[in-house]
Amino acid sequence: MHSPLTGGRIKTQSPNDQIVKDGLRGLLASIAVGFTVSTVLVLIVITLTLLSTAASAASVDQINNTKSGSLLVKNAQTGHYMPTPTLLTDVKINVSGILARTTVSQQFQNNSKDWVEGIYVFPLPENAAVDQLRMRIGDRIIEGQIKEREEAKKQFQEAARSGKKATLIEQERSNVFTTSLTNIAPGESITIEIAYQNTLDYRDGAVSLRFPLVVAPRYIPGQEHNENTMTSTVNQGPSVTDAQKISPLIIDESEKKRNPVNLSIKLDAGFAIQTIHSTNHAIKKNKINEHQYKVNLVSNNVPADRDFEVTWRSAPDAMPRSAVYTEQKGDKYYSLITLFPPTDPNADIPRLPRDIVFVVDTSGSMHGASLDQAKSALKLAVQRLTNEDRFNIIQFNSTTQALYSHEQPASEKNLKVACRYINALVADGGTEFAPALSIALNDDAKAGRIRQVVFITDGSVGNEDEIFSMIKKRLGKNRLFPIGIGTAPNSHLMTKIAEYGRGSFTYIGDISEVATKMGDFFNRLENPVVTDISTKWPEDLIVDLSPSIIPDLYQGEPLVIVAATDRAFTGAVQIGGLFAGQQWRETVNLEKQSKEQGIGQIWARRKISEHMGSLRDGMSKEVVRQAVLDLALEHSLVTKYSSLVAVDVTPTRTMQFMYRQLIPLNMPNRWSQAKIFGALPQTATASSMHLILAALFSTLALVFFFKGRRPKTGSQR
Amino acid sequence: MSVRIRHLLFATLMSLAIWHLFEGGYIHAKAWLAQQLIHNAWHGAISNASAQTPWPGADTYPVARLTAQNGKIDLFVLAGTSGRTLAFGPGHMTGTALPGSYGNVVLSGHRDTHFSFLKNLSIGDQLFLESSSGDRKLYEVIKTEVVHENDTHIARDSGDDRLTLITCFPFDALVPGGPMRYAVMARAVIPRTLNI
Repeated sequence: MHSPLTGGRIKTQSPNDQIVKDGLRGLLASIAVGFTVSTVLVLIVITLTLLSTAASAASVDQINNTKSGSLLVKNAQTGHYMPTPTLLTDVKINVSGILARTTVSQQFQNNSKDWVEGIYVFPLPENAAVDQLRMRIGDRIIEGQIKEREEAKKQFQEAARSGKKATLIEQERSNVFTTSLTNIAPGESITIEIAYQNTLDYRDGAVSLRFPLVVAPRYIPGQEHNENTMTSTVNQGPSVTDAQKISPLIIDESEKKRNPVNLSIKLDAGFAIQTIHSTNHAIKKNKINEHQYKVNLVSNNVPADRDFEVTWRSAPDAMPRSAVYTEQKGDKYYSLITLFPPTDPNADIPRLPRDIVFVVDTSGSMHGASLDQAKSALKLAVQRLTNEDRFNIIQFNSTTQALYSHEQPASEKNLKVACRYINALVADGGTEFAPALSIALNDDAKAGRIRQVVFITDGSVGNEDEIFSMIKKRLGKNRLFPIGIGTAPNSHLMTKIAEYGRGSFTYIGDISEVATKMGDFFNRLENPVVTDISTKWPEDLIVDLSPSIIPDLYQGEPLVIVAATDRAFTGAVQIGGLFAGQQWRETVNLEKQSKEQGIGQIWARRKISEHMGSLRDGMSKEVVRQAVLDLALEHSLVTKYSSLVAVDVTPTRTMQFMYRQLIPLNMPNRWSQAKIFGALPQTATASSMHLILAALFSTLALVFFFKGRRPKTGSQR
Repeated sequence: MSVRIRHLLFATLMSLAIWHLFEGGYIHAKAWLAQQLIHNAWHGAISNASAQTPWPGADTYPVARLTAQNGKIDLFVLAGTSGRTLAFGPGHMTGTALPGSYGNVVLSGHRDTHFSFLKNLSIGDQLFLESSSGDRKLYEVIKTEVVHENDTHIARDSGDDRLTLITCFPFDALVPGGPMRYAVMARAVIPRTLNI
């Protein structure tokens, strides 16, 4: 009928051939049809996309449901249903200042008729250091020993195979520990006792102690196991893979809440206590003196679905104070120095005027939400400046550009200029951080003033070594305050910059967090109470301080310094610094301070985390492992490389089989999915959509062409 | 119907078609071309032992080379996972373990360009990652999972030595920006024989 469409043919046709009467109507009709067809097609495309997204959401839901509810079923592959042993938890806490030593005792009862093996996962505070393990079977007590991790595991497995009772504590994440129990006789109960210590949170004159009583279901239940590994773990004992260990089973909500808890605290605050308050549980308080109390849970059958939290507040004090606790361990001497900022809200502490340089990353990676967050953070910061303060803004991408050549007074006029400058920031180009930092560090704090460098970046910065060495060389009295922006800022880099820069690191993951996170940030920025802190020790003493670079003391936050000295000594340590621009000094006679247990362990723990951090800086794994292991073995600490193992010497198992059993933990109250990083990156382009639309439009064009041509060729004939 | 209007309509629809064809093709062209340019920067990085930008003004640099499916897949991984970076190649998620180091190395890429091969990966498949500092590691796929974009547990440090590849899900969705992600987890293995 038609010859193939050719370009030549279109060109040769005269544009004003007969316009038939109904031509206009026909045209309108075809446009209408064309648009309708294309709209419908586009709608179909969109609908299909939505449908496929919905379908995948449904399958994700199913996966999630399987994760939380059905691991029990999967575990029952052996065909045996195992009742859960009863669990009893007894907690005793000794508080000295902001140091707490906790002893947790747990009782397991095998209610079944079989010999069983269980893994119980339990939560500890973030910075907890476990150092003691004791197992009680009837009258006998077996002490645990710190062993290199693999060795401990081997010993434990051997015990399991030869039918002995054994328990093993390994570190999975920094705040989740697991206890494995093997060869529990039918009806028998075993008590496991562990001790750990940690430093407590202090905020605005209040210290809070938190004892987490549930593990949030943060981890994948053991989805990674196929049937083979499951059967083999049943035979082999505790060698389950990592994912299963850290995934406690979540018991059904309808089931009765288990994990009853007894809890008592011996409290020595180190300062005069004004109030004691518990958030979630009823407590009983017994006053011993101004500084000391005894605190107990009123009911000793507490469900383990919410954390225990108790807070004590200090009486108002207008001066910074220090509390020192010491421990002598072998030939080493450990001191815990805590500096408390003034707690009197009415105390009139003069505020020094500040010179602030804001350095903002406007490289391409900041494009979009990150730059928006940076802008709002920056505007908040600029608005808080007072008349006496001076400021400057530097932006960097491939090049560095400063608003002023030097810091300018925060006058109303200058602030307006600054706001305009901030609004006009555009993200593009590379991330050349070093030149910007160099310009910011060109100056030092003048007498009677504070100089601070705040920089806002997503941290995709290279040349880390160059940056660190520049900070070390040129910091002077400047203080660095990195603010991390975006989904995954390089926290390690920023934390280290803050450490070397004697400032602090603030992370803003989402634009909705800007206001709250910046609140804490401003507190530090605006309220340094004691700066340039140093300690002076009796001569000839080798002192190893942690942290080695002492940061400033801010309003509302205590500062904890742990020192290790090579030998016992007599005399005093001097703690000094600048308090509101004036010299401030306290001399503490170490012999008179109260002796405490576990300070050496706190010191070792800090050193271990420094070593672990150096892995990130490319330190050899073997060197780090050895250093950590040495510290762990000396101070009895459970680390990534060391475990506590306790083995009973008497073989007791008489039956051939043993069944693995996971002890379920309660779902936390009002638990909701934690958004730690924010979100995973966007990983799709519109490419297929464009290509499909291209095909769609070209088809429409052709359809149109032929559709319109048909009556005309007819009329020509 | 008026011929002029018909021509006009035809031209409009055709130009729309061509524009979309260009937009769709451009993404693929950019994805391909960038990888060629990065190839050069990579050899610079290997020989100079320092980060090299693949083209002037680039906001990123190659940090690793990912090979899979017997060399059929050969990709240069860039630092960072911003939209701009991912147009050029798969990106290393900042804050996760660096390629070559111990920990959870997280890479993400576009499901319709560089990482479209993820849908073909199955458990037991081998992945090979070479870092710019020359560390080479062989990984074996242990698991694939569909997660919500806010479910970031897969990007956390899992305590073991692993590689996590993330892309958008479903693979054939037409409109970008969906909330689902497809993740491939692989665990480092000691190579018996390297056949990549």
